[in-house]
Amino acid sequence: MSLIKLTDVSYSYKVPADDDSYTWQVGVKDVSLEIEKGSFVALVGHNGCGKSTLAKLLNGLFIPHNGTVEVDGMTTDDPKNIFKIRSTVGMVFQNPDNQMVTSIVEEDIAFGPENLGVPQKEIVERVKWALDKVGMSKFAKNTTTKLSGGQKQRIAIAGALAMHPQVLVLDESTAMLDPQGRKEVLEVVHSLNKEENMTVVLITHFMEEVLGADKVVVMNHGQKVTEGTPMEVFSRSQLLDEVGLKIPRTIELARKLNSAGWDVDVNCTDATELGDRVCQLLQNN
Amino acid sequence: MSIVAKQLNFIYNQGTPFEKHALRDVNVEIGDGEFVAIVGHTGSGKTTFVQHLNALIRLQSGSLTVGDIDLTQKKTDLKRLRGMVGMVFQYPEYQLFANTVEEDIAFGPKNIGVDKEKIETLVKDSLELVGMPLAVLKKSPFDLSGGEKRRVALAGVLAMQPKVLVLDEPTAGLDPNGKREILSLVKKLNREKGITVIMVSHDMNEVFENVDRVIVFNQGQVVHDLPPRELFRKQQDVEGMNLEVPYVAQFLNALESHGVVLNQDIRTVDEAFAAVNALKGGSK
Amino acid sequence: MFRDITFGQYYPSNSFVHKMDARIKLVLNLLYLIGIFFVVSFVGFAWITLFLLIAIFASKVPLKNVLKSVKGILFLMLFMIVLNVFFTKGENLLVKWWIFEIYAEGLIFAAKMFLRLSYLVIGSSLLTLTTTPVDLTHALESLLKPLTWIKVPVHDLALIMSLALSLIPSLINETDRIIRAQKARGADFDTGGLIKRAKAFVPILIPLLVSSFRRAEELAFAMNSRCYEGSTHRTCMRVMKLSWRDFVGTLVVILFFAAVFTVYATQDTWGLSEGLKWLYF
Repeated sequence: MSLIKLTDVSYSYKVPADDDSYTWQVGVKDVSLEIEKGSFVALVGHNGCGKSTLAKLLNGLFIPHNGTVEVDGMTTDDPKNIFKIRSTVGMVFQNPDNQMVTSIVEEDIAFGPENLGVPQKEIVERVKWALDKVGMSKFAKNTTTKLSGGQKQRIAIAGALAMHPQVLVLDESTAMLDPQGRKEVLEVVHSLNKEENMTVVLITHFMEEVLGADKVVVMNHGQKVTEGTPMEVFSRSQLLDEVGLKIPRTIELARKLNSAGWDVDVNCTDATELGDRVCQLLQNN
Repeated sequence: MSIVAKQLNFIYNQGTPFEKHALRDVNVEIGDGEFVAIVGHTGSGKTTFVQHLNALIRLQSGSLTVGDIDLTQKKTDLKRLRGMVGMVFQYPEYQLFANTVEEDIAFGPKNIGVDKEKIETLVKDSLELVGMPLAVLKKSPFDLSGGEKRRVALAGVLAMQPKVLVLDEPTAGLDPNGKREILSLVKKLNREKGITVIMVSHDMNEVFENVDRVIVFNQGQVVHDLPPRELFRKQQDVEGMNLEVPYVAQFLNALESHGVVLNQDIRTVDEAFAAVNALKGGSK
Repeated sequence: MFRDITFGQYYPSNSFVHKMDARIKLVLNLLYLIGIFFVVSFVGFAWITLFLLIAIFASKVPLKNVLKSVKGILFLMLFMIVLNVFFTKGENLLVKWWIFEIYAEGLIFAAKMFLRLSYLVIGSSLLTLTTTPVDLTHALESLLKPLTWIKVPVHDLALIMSLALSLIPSLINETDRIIRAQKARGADFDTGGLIKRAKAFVPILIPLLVSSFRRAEELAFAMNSRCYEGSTHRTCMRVMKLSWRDFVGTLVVILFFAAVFTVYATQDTWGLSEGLKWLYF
């Protein structure tokens, strides 16, 4: 059963013009999408393609102007559902510095459950559990300022986890990190997906990051262009080119070699393996 | 415009418990018109080093000359130096402030004392150089898209007509198209205008595909100073410093470990493909 | 340029004073600040010095860090001292030169003023040196809770304070970065007249303002995503508990200042000659 269901969702932004009037700018247009429980979905597209708008529609930060967003059977346009929805869909944003509410790690993580009115003893347990899940237990009492970008994002993930969500949405949460930080964050979300059966929606424009996903959704001009497994999507290279995305270099090379008649796996993601295979083919001949 | 740094040392918060030795005996020479990448993980000293180049960080010990300016001297002509060494910070769009794009780009040249009429042409030239239409001159920089803002910020530095351009992660946060545009612009500046480019980057693929030479910082020291192909041949060494090895380099390394050495200068996927396919021994 | 502001910043330690409850520390500090104004003699200041030394010793904060706080207001104090020395008129004229007259009373008054101000600052910085800003916020919220009955939004104010505290470090970094970026574009913040210098800050202030608004917007999204809706139904993870240290600490402070207040209240009954009175408590 799908945990999140979007039906013909549209959302536009009001843009003030030079005179007092305003125009509407499309954020998301006629998007229908289903996200299965326990799946790992990657949402990709160039900057301004509507993927972040879509993220904010998933937990009712934005309410669709047309169509409906349904989370675990609740629609986001009913104000009664809003807190239940937001605790079901945990959200992590782009800038690690702009989502901390206090400067002590454990207190920041406690913010969500405190808002939900969770009893004090249980909050302590949840915070402990969440810190453990992101591998930051020994930083519980630290101040947030001295942490690296990757560590801050892991704290932000823990802050969402403490609300006991079923879905974790990462809205370009790796965009501002260095490669080390990006690796840390990806490892954490993948292990949450596997061990806790957490549904993950990863929004990114790093195509290497979508490799571990069950489903990739490609957006362009606010619309869903295509969806499928990573390899299915990578095979539509012309389409990706049109929407300004680039498939990972190794796969690109493997596909080029393959179509030139070399017997290599088109889904090869390891460049060393690909090199080994090419040499093997050369020697066999 | 060559840069010569000898025995640079830099210590933050000297004499406090927060003391940090950011640079240790750094010796670097960069020649006129080179395209150099400076890499190293966060906190390796690379940013401290590049900020020395236009005296945003003052020399503590060692010597540094940029062109004919000796930064060891107490009285450095900062205006001339900063006009010579253009510095583009990470997320440069966050430094835009003026009412119009024109005013913002003119800020730099005005500060270093370029005369009015010349500024006007400089503003237009640099805007054109970054590939933006002149129509945006009268627009507010805050009305532009993220990628456009970054290009305007870059134009603001180019309008100072620098001989050396230092870029701190110029493609951070951009999508693949935005990255490509900025990199090809930087390459053009280097190739066509002869500007020396020093680019700090975390993206090793980007580094591999674009630069002539890579300087690797680790714990405040320069540990490697090599052309990219040679550097990434030391795969384990590079990985040991928490840096990625570019995919194409990994592929070439695998070939070489089996004795297949391609002699061309291969940087991109297309070049690797063409070279391998030319071997034609591939079984069909 | 902003990184060296360490004045009164939390000094991590596990000392007696650090472990005291923040609420108790805040109340005792208030008592101390009031108490200082009841000390009228040099002997009294000697007592307070003794008290401060004990407190500093119990806090394990190096004396140097505590004294740094005085350095921060040195200019202000010098100004006060000069004013008092030259403009206090008394009976015992010491020096007369041109239009300036210095009286013994002026010197004594200025010295006391200096001590009082320094001790005021030292005392409060001892509070901030031993208590994290977050603890202080919690303490304030807890102490002011009764005000919610008269509709003061205590919780929201505390949250605003805590948000500000967590944003300050990144704002400082941001400012630093913008200054560097503009300097790299040849901006000059150090020369020229007042108006020119004030104008030079526009290229810093505007980007800072823009980025603060962006931060605020992102933070609002983040807080909404974590189900924030004000203080209704809200619980709190932190439990504040008193320990034996708080009782001991309170006892010491109260005994000390009970003495101060008693002496102050009874000073008229000492029967000493007027000239000697300043010597005593």
